Amino acid sequence: MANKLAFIAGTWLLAVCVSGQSLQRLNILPRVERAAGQVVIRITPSRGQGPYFVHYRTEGMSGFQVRKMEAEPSGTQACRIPTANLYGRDIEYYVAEKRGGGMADVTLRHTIAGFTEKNSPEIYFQEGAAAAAPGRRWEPPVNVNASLSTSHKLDPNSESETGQQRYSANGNLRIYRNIVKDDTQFDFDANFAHVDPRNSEIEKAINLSSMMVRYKKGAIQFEAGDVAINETEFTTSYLNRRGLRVEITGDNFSLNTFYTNSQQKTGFDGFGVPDTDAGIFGAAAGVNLKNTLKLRGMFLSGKDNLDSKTVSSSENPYRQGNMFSVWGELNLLANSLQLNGEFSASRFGSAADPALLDQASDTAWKAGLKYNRGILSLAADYESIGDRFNSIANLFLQNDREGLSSSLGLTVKSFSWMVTYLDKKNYMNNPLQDMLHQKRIGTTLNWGLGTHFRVGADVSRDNLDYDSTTGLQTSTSDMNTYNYSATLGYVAGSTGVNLSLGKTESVNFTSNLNASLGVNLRFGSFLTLSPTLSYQQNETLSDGGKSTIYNAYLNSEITLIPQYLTITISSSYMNNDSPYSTSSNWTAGCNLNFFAAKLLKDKVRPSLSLKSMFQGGKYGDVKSHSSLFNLQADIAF
Amino acid sequence: MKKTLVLFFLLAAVVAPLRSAIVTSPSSGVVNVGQSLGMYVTCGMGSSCTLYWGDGSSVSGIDSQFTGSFTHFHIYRNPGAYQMRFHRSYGGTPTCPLDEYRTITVLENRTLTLDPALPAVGQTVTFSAGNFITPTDLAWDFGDGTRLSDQGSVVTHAYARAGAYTLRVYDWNGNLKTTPVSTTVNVVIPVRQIVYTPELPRVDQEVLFQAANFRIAAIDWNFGDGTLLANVSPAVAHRFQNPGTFTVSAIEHGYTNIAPATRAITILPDNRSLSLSSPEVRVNEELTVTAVNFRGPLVQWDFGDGSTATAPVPVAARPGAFPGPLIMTHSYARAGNYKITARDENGASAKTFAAAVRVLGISDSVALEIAEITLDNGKYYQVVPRNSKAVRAQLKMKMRGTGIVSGYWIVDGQPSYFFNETAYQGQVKTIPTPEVPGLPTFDPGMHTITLQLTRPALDMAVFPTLRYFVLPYENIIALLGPNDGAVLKEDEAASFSWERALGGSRYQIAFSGSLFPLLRADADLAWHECPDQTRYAPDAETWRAIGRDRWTYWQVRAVDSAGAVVAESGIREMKVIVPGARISIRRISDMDGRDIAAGPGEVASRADWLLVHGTLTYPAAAEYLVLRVYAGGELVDQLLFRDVRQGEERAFETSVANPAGGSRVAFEVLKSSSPSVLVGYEELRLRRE
Repeated sequence: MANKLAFIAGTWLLAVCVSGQSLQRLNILPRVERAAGQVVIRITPSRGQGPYFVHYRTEGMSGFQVRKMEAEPSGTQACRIPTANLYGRDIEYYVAEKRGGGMADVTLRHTIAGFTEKNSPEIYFQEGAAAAAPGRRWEPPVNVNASLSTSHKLDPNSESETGQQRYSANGNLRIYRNIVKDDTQFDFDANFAHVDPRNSEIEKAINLSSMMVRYKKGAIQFEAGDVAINETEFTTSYLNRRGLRVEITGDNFSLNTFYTNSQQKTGFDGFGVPDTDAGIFGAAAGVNLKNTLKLRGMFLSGKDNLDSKTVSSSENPYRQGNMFSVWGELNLLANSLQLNGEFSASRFGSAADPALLDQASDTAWKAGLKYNRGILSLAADYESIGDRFNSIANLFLQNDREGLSSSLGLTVKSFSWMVTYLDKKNYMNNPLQDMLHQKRIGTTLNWGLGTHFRVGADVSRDNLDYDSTTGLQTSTSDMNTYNYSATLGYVAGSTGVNLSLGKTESVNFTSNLNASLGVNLRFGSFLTLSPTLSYQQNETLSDGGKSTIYNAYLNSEITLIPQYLTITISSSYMNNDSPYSTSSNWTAGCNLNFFAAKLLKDKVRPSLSLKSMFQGGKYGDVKSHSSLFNLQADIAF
Repeated sequence: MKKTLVLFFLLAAVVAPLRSAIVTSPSSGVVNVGQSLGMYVTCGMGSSCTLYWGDGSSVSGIDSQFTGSFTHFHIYRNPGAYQMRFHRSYGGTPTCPLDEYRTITVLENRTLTLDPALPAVGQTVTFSAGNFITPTDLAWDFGDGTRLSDQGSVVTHAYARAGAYTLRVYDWNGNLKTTPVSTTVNVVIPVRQIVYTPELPRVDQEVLFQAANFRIAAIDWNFGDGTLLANVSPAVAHRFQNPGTFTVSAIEHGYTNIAPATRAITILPDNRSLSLSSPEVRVNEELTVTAVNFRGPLVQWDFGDGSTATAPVPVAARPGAFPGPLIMTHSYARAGNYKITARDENGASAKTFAAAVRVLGISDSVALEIAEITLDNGKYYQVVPRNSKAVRAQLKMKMRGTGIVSGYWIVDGQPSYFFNETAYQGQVKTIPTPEVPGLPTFDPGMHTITLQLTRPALDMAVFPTLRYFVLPYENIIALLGPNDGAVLKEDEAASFSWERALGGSRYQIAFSGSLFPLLRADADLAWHECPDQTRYAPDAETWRAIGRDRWTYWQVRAVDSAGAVVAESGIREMKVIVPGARISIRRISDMDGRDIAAGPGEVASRADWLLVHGTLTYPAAAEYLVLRVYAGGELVDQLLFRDVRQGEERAFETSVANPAGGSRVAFEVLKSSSPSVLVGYEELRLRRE
């Protein structure tokens, strides 16, 4: 015991000796004197030559202000700090002595509390300058991302209404590489997807779900893969297909040529090698004269097939045609006024059987102007599209019509208001349908209220009337459709609300009322709620029959352990009442997800999910219900 | 009858002298029991004759009425073959044979029937006696000890035990001495069985079931198709709604210790349908609808336009429906898409057959010609990270007409987002899934989304199912700078920087004066390419386009080579200001107060610390102005100026370190409104000599 005490005493003495020098230097006690509009800090240095500097700061500061102390006749060092413009009420300070090329503290840090009685306003503290982005890191020759999801039905006898096999496996393998050097760019990107269960008639076990090989050098660009072609309304508008594209874009000219696979049987599945009997070829060439006059000519030719994974149609599936188009744009008044026009001629046919394809020729043209000046904008165009005019590369072209559409807009900051007027004739040469004269006037406004709110409103009147000069019309009545709608949006961070109300009434036909509320609520990182409510009521004015549909849908996530454990809950309820039937159905699902990516430092990202789904329905007096339980494992790297 | 017989015998008398024989009427000598038989014999004149009928009865004497002949009538009471004998007794020489014979056959035509033919124990049997001579006065002997007399020709009786019983019925006023008509009654122990009709029913056709020989009249039925009836009659009707073979079972209600009776029944597929003369007609044009293979005789029709003109007898259960024949003609007064429905057997049939007809002309119905649903990338398949907002689906439609288009998106089998929009003639309508809330991406794995239209319903468009795969991790771009809420001076374009995200091929940045375009990923939002991958310095045009003195929101996203979003950053706000406060640097000195020469915005010195003396001027009055001084990114001074008057010059002094390698000193003036606004900015570059 005595030895132990001696050891402690010795250790203490040694520590005092070693630190004695520091203690000696920091043992100067400053004196503070408060005077009107200033505080005076004094020290009496025991030895040393100085000079001495006061370092002080007030609330919010990360660095210190420095002032040199002045020697007083009494031998003390003093520093007067005016307080009139200091922020806050407390001053933190210490005194340092300059020695050689550095500073040495000679006092501990002290605080002068309440140097003023005045309040300081709360201010927004801006952080420091932007952090620097990391430099370019080493990249492997080829990047690979892979993911796999397997699911196992826990109860083989359980069934959902949609049916599900006992095992399912889905996966993706993405291989990509992007190189940019000077004016050269190379992109390779391919995603292979495996889908099971699948429809084996139209899907393969492994599909090249997306693909892009792009080489760009200067004005020349070559693409092979999923290309999107967008030229003009009459030719092609966002033609998303797999194919080839070469584009040359210069200051004064441009050339764009493509060949796409239009065989959509498997959508973008498979490897998309174009079938020679089903492809669209196109070429466009344009000139640009100092951005004042732009001219472009285009040629399209090929065959198409509507059999697709994304298209639902009552039209003839087999299409064939070719066309040429000339488009021009003239910019005047410092681009405030824009005149444009397009003329196209097509030869097109469609049939239920490819052997029955019979093509016919027709033309279409349009001319328009746009004017933008300050807060005003004006647009008008007149178009005429023949009944047999069609584009092989635009599924949604509306032909057999002619007329004017115009708009007048006003935009002041976050407020915009637009009035539109349309006057068009439809079915001008349709042997079955009488010519239909359409006139519509409407107004739309959008207003951003502050940062978080946006309101919108829309009112329109649409009139459809037959042109009796065709001699086909047997009824003289026309139809007026009134539409009123309003929306309110609110966004703050991850929280969003969208409320919409609308009424559409086709006089003498139907009256329709609808309301919907979509909400996205986020409570920190713990809870996210996304409910949606909607209501629709439709009344047939001829007999007063009403039908209503209302629906509630909830999608939510509860985070039990951030980045590791979550519970997701989803549910829906739908009720449909009509004079002839009443039905309702509901679903509820609850999943427990465990994510292990952080345990593996994000090198591999596995997750495990226990999933449950319950469904029920009632149609008339017939009820049904089912339940399904799955264990799902996912992994990605 | 007798006259006929007399006439016959007169004729016979004319012929009789030619031969001596017994002549009968009928001449065949065959009669039924109870039927009168006539006989005639000649050569009996002057003699004493006796006629023996063969059944124990006889007649004696001389017929004084017909000289030389003998005529008589007789009725036999029992069936059988009888030997008729005619005996003569002569006083002198016989002129005719002493005895003559004739065989008479008496047939039995009386019948006994019983219903049921095979009665069960305890079952009441109805007995009927036919062709009896005294049908109103019969004696019944049921063979089980039960005898009834003075009964009519129809009686009922139930046997208490099983067995073979001889039923005897005595004719002739119930004379028990006569030979009865008898039959054997087999009484069986009852066997429960199910009988049905028709023999080969079809789907939805009414089938009549009978539970036979059941112990009680309260039956529990199970038709094998999920339909159960409890405690109902033994005779029920049922319609099967699906083809196939079903096992029908029936059991006495409340009997649990016996097996039910079963019977298999095969239901043939339905072969009924509706046929239209044309799928499209004009207003007021006649349309013929045929109910093919309907059972009829009436069909409950509903042409969808509320018309009941053809037969003004509305059916209460279905407003607008009315009965009609199998073939109907109808014309529509208004254009539109109509749904014709028909129910067989005047509505008794449960199945409703429907056909769609389009009446050309103006209506509020739109006709869907072509529609496409795709995900953001224009395809049916997309891969997105967890919690990503970068996945939406959209419906694009080409239609005829003006009217409402409504329906709902179905996500993972759940009706999720409803829409209800007005589509106008000639318009290509695009309806996306809502941005608030977006498609669910909480759970990793495969998700499905498809669409169901509720209006126009008649087009019955079947949409494909799209898939999006949610990766089991979030992929968020970490933004580095400027910091959220940064205030930037307009004459100094900022530099934006961030960290790489997994899978990003290219990076893009967008600026917006409102949150909404970024949240909704508006199509007209300008995304600027960032060739440096992790940083972006806006060009002069882009920088000028950013609003001044108001908050601007910016976001960075990473896309793959095809432009599909693979990662997004959060949204940050910043403000580019046009300074109003003026900061003037009057003098720069070292800590000893010695002046240091300074150039415009720059100073070079050997001093470790510099004192900057300046003034602050603001063009308006302000309750508070705050001057913040940054040196090397560190806030080294913060001065508060109270009650600043318009144009007033307020002096300040601040120290900044002058490190080796130089430094940048930033002076910011905040007007401490809420939120605080940067109203002044100045910079000073330090260079260490």
